[in-house]
Amino acid sequence: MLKRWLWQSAAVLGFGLAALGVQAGQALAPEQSEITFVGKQMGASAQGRFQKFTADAALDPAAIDKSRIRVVIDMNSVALPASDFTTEVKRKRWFDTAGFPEATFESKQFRKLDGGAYQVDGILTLKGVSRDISAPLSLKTEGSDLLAEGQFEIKRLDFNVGDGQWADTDTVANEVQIKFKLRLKPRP
Amino acid sequence: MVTTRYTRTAIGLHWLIAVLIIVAFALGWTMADMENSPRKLRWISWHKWLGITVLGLTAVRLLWRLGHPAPALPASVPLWQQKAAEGVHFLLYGLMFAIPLSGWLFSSARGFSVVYLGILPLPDLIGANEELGDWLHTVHIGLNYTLLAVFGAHVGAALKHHFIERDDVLARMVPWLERKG
Repeated sequence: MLKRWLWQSAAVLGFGLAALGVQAGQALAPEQSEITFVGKQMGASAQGRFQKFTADAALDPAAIDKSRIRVVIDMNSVALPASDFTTEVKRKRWFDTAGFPEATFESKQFRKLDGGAYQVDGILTLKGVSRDISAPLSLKTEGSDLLAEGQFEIKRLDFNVGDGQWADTDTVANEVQIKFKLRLKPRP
Repeated sequence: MVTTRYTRTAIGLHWLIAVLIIVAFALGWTMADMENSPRKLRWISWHKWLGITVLGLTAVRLLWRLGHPAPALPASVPLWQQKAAEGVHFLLYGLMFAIPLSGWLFSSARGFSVVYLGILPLPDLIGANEELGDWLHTVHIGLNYTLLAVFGAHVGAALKHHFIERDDVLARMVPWLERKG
């Protein structure tokens, strides 16, 4: 009797959640997603990437004004092509991954632009500093997946990344390009 | 008349490249042990720009030399020494190509493109590969020690000709040293 009641309740709850749609939201497919950054030193580009990050999203091009996303980056998963540079950027004067192991991006609003593109405004928290950022992005539906791709620029010194002698932007440029490609799968 | 000295172009290129190599070598030697700092990054870039300049000038110099052969050594120089001089010069040319190229390859393997003078991006010769990068670093250093040894033989021989044998071998490259009569 009780068992039957539990099954029924679960079924009702399940249908209810499914009906709400976006409420169930999406999770990241990490192996098919990437977050990379490109900085410049002495005019030469240097690229890095984050190997671990998660996202919690309810992103729907059909209901863009109700969409949201929260991305959490594990700063210790940073990787540059040479391991000594990976060690360098984890140090206190750059990312200080011991003091600030996570960076987050939390959306405030999504907007639809002319020509099928989108814009997301949100707050990026990096090395304990929170700043408003805005990034153009494309949203593509592939089956039940949603592919969100875009890029934006930050100024590293806004987040105290590279302080002390590294505040010199003639050697390492202040501007850093952040590129993201996130594949979101509906939560079961 | 037998040519007794190098052309002015050859002399100019010789000394210009010599100075560039010495500065690049000194920078490379010093920066290798430096702590990471903006200065180190600047020096690494200058070192790369010097190396690329040497590579380009060496190509020009070799082309020039093909059309303007080196003046013959005096007949007083024994044949084995003439052959040795030829070998040393051959090695020097080889190293002037191989060293900048190994540095460029090393830079590519490290994941850093070379941007000549901070303006002109040069293509990456190979993809980023840390193991290969470490190996190329060793090769780059090994070639430089070889250059140091060959450079020693080159300078030593020039000075021996000038101060011991008192002939005009060095004067072929330094015209104002030419002995009268």
